[in-house]
Amino acid sequence: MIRQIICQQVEKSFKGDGTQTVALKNVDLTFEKGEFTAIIGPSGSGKSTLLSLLGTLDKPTKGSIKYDGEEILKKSKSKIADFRFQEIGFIFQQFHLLPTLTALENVLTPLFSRKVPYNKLERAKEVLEQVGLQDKLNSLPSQLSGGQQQRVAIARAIVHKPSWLLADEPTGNLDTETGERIYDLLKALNEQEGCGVLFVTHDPALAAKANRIISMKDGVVLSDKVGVAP
Amino acid sequence: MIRFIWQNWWRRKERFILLIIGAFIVSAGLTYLIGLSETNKGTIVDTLQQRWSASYDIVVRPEGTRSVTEEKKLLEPNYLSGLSGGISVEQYEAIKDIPGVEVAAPIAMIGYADYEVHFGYVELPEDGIYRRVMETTVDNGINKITETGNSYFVSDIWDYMNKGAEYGVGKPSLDLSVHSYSLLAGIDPEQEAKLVGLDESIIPLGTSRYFNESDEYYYNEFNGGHHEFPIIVNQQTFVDKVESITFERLNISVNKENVIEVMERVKESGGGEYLDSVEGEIVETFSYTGEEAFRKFINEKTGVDWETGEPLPDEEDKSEGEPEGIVGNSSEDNITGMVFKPSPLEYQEIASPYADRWPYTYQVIPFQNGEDTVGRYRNKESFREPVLIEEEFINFPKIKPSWIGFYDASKLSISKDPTTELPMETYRPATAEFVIDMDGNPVNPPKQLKPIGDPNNFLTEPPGMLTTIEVAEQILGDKPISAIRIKVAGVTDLSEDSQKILEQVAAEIESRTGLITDITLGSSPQLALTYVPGLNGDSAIGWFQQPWVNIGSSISIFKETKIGFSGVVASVIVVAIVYVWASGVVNLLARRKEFAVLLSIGWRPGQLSRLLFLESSMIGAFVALISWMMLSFVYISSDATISLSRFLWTGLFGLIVYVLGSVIPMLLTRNISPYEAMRTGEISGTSKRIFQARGIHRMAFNHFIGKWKRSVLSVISIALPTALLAVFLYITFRLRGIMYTSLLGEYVALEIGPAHYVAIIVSLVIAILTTAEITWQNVSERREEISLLQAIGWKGWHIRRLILAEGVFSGLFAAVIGLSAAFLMMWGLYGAFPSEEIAFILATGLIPIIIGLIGTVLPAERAVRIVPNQGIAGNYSNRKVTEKRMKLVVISTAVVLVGTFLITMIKVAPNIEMAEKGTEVEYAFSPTEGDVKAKETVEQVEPDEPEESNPGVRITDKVKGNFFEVLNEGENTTDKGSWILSYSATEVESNLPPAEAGMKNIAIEFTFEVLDDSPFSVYQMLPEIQFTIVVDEEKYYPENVTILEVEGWDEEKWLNGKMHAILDYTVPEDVEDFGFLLRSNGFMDGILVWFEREKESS
Repeated sequence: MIRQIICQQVEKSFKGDGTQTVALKNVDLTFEKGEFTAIIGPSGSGKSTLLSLLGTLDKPTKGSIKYDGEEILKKSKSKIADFRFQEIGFIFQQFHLLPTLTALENVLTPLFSRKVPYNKLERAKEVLEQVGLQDKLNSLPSQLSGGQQQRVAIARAIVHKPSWLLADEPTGNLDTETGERIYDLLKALNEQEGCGVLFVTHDPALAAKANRIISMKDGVVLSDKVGVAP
Repeated sequence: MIRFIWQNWWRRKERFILLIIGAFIVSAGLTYLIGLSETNKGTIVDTLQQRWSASYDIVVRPEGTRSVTEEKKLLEPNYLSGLSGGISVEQYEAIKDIPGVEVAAPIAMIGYADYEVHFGYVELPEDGIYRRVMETTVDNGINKITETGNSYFVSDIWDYMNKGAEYGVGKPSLDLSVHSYSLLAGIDPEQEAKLVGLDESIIPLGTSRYFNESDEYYYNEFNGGHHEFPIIVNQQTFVDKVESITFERLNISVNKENVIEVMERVKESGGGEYLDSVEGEIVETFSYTGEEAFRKFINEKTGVDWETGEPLPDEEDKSEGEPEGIVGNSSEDNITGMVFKPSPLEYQEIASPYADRWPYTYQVIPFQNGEDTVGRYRNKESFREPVLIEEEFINFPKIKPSWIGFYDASKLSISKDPTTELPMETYRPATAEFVIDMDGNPVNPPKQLKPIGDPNNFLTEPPGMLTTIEVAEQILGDKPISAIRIKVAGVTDLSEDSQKILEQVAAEIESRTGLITDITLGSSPQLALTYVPGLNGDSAIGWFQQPWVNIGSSISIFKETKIGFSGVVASVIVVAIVYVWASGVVNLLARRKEFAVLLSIGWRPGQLSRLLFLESSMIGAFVALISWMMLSFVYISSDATISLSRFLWTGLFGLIVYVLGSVIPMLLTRNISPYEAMRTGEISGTSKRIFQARGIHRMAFNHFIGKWKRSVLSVISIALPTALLAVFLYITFRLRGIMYTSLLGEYVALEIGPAHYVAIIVSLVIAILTTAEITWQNVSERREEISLLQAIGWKGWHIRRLILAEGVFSGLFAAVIGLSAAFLMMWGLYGAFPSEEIAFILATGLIPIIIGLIGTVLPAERAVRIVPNQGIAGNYSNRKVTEKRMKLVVISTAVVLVGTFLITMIKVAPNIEMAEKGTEVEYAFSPTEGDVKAKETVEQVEPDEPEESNPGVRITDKVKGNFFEVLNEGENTTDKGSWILSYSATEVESNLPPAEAGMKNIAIEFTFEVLDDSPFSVYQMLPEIQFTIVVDEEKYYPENVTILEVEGWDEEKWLNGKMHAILDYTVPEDVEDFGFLLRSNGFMDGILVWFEREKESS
């Protein structure tokens, strides 16, 4: 159970064909469990990069990220994967459901060959019910609408009871109304499960609902303020 | 997890079909190549070892016995029987001591001895002058040769003593005895037993036994001295001989009172010549076949009945002093003389009349005897030089062989299949098939020539009596041994290792003894043609086909086929592995993002590897299962045998290939970063560019180069089979050169050919699949790009071209790489580039381009179907209907594939073994050259000289072409000297209704008769098509056929008797002279009857 993530002087650059792109520069941020944080900024501001670093999907070029004081990223790939499994749930803009699996199977994927103290199938059904898709258990992604797909993705992200939910533009591919519902779902999860939610968006209206708003531009954190919402 | 994998396959239907097809092809290919072809390869080795193996590995001969035929590495079949001594016992002992020599069995051809079998005495109760007619009929397989000899005697009323030859009568000879020649050879009993199991072939009758320690040679000083020694006698007779003895009582009244008077009258009338003219009355006739004589001989020798094995009752004959079976010239003391030594035939190479059938042709050069030889051959020709053991008759070794046992040569452990036997065996006569008669006409069916029991004939008999080397040394002196047959320890099969050991031993023998060695293990029979001329002015006998020994040919064929075959099998396996890798990599590329997502939701990298491994293992297991199923089915239905280990390996191999195939993708998963799940938008991460994209082809080329890693995979998978195909074609051409020159080669070529082709086809199909997989993936990855191109107005055909061009590039690269590799391989293998076949081999470069094209057709079609707005969203079809259809497609594909494979296998498997002979023949060797010495004789019996009968006008000038025979109207072939055929034709009045204007009718009456002594008994006779009227270049067929008389015309096609018929023709009115041409088998050139009309009219 990670309570705090601290970024110290985090920098990330990408090497292309003879060019070097700096995506993040000198980021110093601290995240507490239970926060509902929005990261906002235009395209290329480094917000997705920051999210992937926080979610241990990638390693910073410089600086360190400490999870309750531990530098997980220095560990082996398998250990990192275990960490992700235990602590982090990811939600993508394109949902990234496995097209060949049904909703239920998709939700089950993180649990494959993992030992968990609960019944996997029961748990998967439970989370699908939580996102309101109890009647779509055996539907394939292609048979679901965008909003439903994203809800399956959220169910998949929470099935292993992570302490942090990271969402990369979870509403970006959805219409406003569906986007609102997804947002509400995330908000509800934050309140009910008490997990820290970090979501990237470039919709200021949505971001404004968060209780912490980090705005970024050109790889630098511009501001870090508490939102209007309670 | 398995469910996960299955869902993943099942819901990506198109790719799954590809995967299944790939699995089927790989398993079918492996089944064929490992499971079945290995059997074929095994069969080849087995054949080499069992059917075509000599019972010895090396044959050692005395120096100076190389025949001219050996320049072409050929040995005549009964070569050993024509050798007489040359190796000393010391040399033999030296060879025995050479390490590695397991069996060294010497053979000493001592010489021909004659033996006599006695059937008893005739009883002639009436007094009189008798004619004793000895008639010997020998069937040499082609015709019967009869020799008759008359002798006269007066019954026991006249004192023949002290009477001269002028009376024409001699001592009464009432005995019924027949003579035979038999070759006596010396062997080492112990070694011969080891080599061919001679001791096991002793017939257990009476006291018959093999040699043992107590058998001793003894020189008996008595009566001028003779050799006494033990012999074992061959139970088989090879000469088909009937001897008949007829006693005729002459029609001259004679009795005790008038005998002196009568005999004086006979003497005055001319003695023997007079008696020949006197008619007689047959009193008794006895005839004995060679076999009967032999059985009789055996019965006497063993004292038991040949057939029942029961002891024979004491025969009355015995009490009459019936001598023992083997009797010499002086039957009382059982001593006989040895006259002839074996001698070789002299050959000369000549050009083959049918070089594609028999590349090697030799003619026998007869030996011209002078004054100083035995009477029988004096001033005559013989096939072999009659070599006497001693110059003076008085010195001829006298022998007293004492029988100890009978052996049955057919029980020896030597090859028994007469059609495929490796010749040069001591225990059976050489085979010679009469295939072409002296006129150059084929003999159908060929007739087998048999030995006639003459020591100096073309064919000789194998030894009929065997004794020991010690005896041979005593009789022949210093160097009795003609050849030593050697078996070498550690040589069990035909392989390069064996060959090496043999070469070593052979070299050792040569250096220690100075004798000649030949390795027979790797030799194969070689059909050669032998021209046997006529002796003493007789017409030639004709052409004989004989299985000669092609020294060292099978080992070279074996080596080459092994290289060829293992190479091809290896290539298929490599191509299969490349395919599995390619499909694994493609699979990984296609699911890269999916894997990144899985990683980002907490999967360990190891889990991904496990997933891939499991997937591969599942397909591998599937492949193994399919292979096993197919293999068992084929084996059950074509009742072939299979070893369990090979059966297991065939399936396991598929499994291993697939498991190995997962290694690269597994390694590649390590490079997948979970971060990739976040990336969106880029169409291609990196791309290398060589040309500026200005058109479709350059764009395709840039893409091809940009994705160079996977392009390399598809190029390799196409290039490899291409290279092998080219090399294989080259090897095939080369091999055919060597192969078709020997029986074994022909066999191997037929056996190995289909397997090679199947292997290449399998690899090429796999290459198509590989290309298809890779292009498929390229298209999948470029959905966005393609839909974009469509959105900006590209037409379907442009897109298609863009994708197809990539396939063509793969093919082009593959062609260049493949052919370069092929040429390098050829250069490495043979040290030479093919110059003759280069065009052909270059043409194989088209194949990869076609393969590349085929591989991209499906993906291109898929690309064209991408709808512009569909570019980004996933479109996996999951509708129920599609699912059903899908199931149907998968099942039917499987059924069709497996079915086709099984049917082919079942059909092909037995066919391979009995594949027909006589496909095309190529040869890259030097056939024999030279002319038939006796050609004049041949020409004499082909009198196509028309001048004789029609001086002044050469008919052949008027009608172009060569004819077997040219006759004038009314002239018969028998007038021209033909003794096989009577044929003549004349013009008669036509009964056809008057012909239309400008035409006239001609009727020809002909008779065609097969003469009695013709060796050709049957001619094809189809009057409607075989008889034509020839005017200049024009041919006219009969309008009407009236058969007047016909005998023996089977199925109205095969004539063995006589035909007399009238043929009506309609020809233009202005036709004057014409030819009447008959063409049939036996004289394909035709017999032309010339009808000269001009002369009559003028």
